[in-house]
Amino acid sequence: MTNEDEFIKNLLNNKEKDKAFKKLLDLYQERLYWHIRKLVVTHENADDVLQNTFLRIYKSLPNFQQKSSLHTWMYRIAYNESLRFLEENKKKNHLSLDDVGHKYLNNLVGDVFFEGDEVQLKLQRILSKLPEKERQIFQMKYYDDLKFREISAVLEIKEGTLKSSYYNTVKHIEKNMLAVELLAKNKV
Amino acid sequence: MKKLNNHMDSKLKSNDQISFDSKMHEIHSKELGLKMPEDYFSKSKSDILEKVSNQKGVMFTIFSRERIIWSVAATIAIIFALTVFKPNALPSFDNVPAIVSDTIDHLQNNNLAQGEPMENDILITSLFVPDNEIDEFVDNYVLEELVYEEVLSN
Repeated sequence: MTNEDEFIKNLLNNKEKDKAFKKLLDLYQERLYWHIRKLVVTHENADDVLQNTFLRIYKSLPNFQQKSSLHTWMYRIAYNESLRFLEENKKKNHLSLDDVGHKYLNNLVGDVFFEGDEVQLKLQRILSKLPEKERQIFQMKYYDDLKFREISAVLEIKEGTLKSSYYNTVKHIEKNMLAVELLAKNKV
Repeated sequence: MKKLNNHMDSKLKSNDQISFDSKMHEIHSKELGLKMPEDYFSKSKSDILEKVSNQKGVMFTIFSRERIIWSVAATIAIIFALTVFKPNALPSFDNVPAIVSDTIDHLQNNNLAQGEPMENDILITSLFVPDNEIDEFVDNYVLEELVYEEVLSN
């Protein structure tokens, strides 16, 4: 029995569940926070979604059938909770798809917990202009350090498609960032 | 841009986890300019645990309520069966055991029986519910809750 099997067994055992759930929080709270933060942008939104995510995880544990790893399953819940939050916001604010990228940047700049300098803001601007799925794939691979297999399970997209999307996005970002650096040098 | 080292093979080892978390923090802060309040994670952890503990209370109440409803339904079914098939075996109402009469009183006082509407009542009520409310219910509950649960169970 692996560590993860033993851990899951404890999570599903009524006597051990609370202790195991605290351990689960210690292990995954930060990484799920960052995953959610990049999707919902502001700290305040990420805090709400993170709490909903762990509540959902707690409620859904008895239904976890171990068809995927616990790690992937939790990322799926966090991803789905973030999408649900964004969808509700979109409905509330009557936003079109075109507005979403624009709002992404506005929300980010308006967040008191964003302290980006010129280069960071430029990178965020490039990311905000990417199609939503491509941005998510890039962020999950580059910042969350998920494997393509894991991203494929979360987004339900074939690994081959993910790989080509990721490499195209990396090239696109490098090209644009290089242009920014050249512009900055020319300014000096 | 800096790349995180590969670390995920030992997800349950605390030293690796601490180093992974601090690398995550660093890369998000340095490259994306994202910050958070000081001591956020310990506060958030206690908020989540409190919510989970409240949730357990709610789940327990629902479970207890279901148990009461089923116990009452079983009692009524037994009394009904005795009335129809073995009327002589049923004690007169004055002689009904205290536990049965208390349960029936409790049921009436708390409207527990109304929590389980009869099929006909549902059909009649549905005639007075506008279509858009039904659509909304299907969107909010059937699609979001049921389908979502199904997706997560895989």
